[in-house]
Amino acid sequence: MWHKEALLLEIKRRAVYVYDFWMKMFIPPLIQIIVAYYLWQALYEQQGGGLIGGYTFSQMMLYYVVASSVYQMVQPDIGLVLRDIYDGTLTKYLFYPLSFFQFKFLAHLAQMLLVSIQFVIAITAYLIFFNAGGSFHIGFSQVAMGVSSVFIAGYLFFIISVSLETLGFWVETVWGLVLMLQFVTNLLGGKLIPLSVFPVWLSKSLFYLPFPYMVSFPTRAFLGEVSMQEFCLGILISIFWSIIFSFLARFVWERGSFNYSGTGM
Amino acid sequence: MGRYIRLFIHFLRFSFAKATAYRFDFWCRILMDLAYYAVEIGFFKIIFQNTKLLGGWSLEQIMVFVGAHLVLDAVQMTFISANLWELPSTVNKGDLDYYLVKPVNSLFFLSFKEISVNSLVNLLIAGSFFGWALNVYQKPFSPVELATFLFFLAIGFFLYYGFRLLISLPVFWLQSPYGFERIFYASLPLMERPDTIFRGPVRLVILTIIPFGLMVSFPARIFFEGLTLQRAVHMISVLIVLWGIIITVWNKGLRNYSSASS
Repeated sequence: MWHKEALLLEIKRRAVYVYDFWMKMFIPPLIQIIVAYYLWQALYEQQGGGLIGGYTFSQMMLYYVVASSVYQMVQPDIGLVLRDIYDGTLTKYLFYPLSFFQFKFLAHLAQMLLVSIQFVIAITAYLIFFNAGGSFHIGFSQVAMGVSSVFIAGYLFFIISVSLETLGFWVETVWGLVLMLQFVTNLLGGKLIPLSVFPVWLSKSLFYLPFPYMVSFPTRAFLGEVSMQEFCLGILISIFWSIIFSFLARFVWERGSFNYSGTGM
Repeated sequence: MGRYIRLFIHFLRFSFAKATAYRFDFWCRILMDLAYYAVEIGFFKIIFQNTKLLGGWSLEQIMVFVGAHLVLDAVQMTFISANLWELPSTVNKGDLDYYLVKPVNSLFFLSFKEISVNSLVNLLIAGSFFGWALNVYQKPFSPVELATFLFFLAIGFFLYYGFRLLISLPVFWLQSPYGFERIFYASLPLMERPDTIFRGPVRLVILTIIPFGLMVSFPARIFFEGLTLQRAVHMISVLIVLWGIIITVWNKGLRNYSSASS
């Protein structure tokens, strides 16, 4: 019951600043898609059409529409945990009926649910305006695979960020490390370029790392490019990394809480 | 002018002292920027596995473009980024009075009061990469051509600074200015790609109203293709108009400003 209340509260809190909410929801992915459109148009014209990384131009655009939305969904806010450590406001969570981590994950989940509205609008717009040949179809299994992989990707991105932010118990600022994670995930996660365009040696090296499972894997699941066998393996790898970083975050948190004074830094 | 130079030297001294107090943060931000540089370079290296030209530019030209972009990024991170990030909060809290009563230009004070020392290190790294890219660039160039490139890159910096400042000024009227700043940062990919790939209304917009296409790409094109009167007049005109708008909006904003002590 408390989980549902906390989730609803976070959704309301995020939606109350209407202007900020809509600005953040639509403008960044729209600009990313515009830049990707012109970049890949130039590349495909240079090639004389054909395939790049196994995608035609319209398929590449669909990849970017989905990947931009997936990234917006799974990316946690910077300072989700850090702000409470630096401001000394962790103490209030002792009185909450939920643990600190549960509350923060629910806050992240609220964000994911709100951004999923954008995802639905983006896919609908693509289907109406760009899917003239009817080449893209959405089936139940794609949606099921996509939703489950996005949920795990959201948790994975969250817990890796939290592991870094809990270093804030000892050092003055760690937001640089969190930003570094986002830069690296942008490229190695497949948001800037599909991983199928990468050199084979690089995409093979990334296979067992967590980055592809934060953006590329959920995107390909939604696009129907993932077989059931690949899906099961991808989910297992995502869960493996989620468990590793959950233990790491817990370990750092338990050590760091001895350092916490509640007076802010 | 001497007063401003002395003030700037004080800003530098204070910033160095602050940087030595927060060492982890110092090294962290260097690593962060290095990751950013690696991603930018890696992005184009991967793209060029699939093509020989992008927007008519070869890989060597793109590396010169990327080097120039990283230098501009390091300069803005060093001198203005942190200061302009704080500007909306300063206005919102009503703390602008402290800067308005000083006997120096308040915009200068607000924009340059703190220097990011870690970004000076990154400026050296970005500059080295830029130097390497110029060295491997196949077409020979003269010192005059290089100086022209750097001059127009400096104009590109003032376009970046001006537009970044303009994005923050709605704080005088809006409760939450951070919405515009998010749009600014989300729009940076428009600066990070050659302007030659854009077409139609988008190209027109990024070369005039939202001048991201002029900041790095235009100076790079001047270097690759030569300086023309049209390109020079275009860049300088946009710079003059932009700063004219900024000064007008700033003065209007100050008339609308109510401080914490009023």
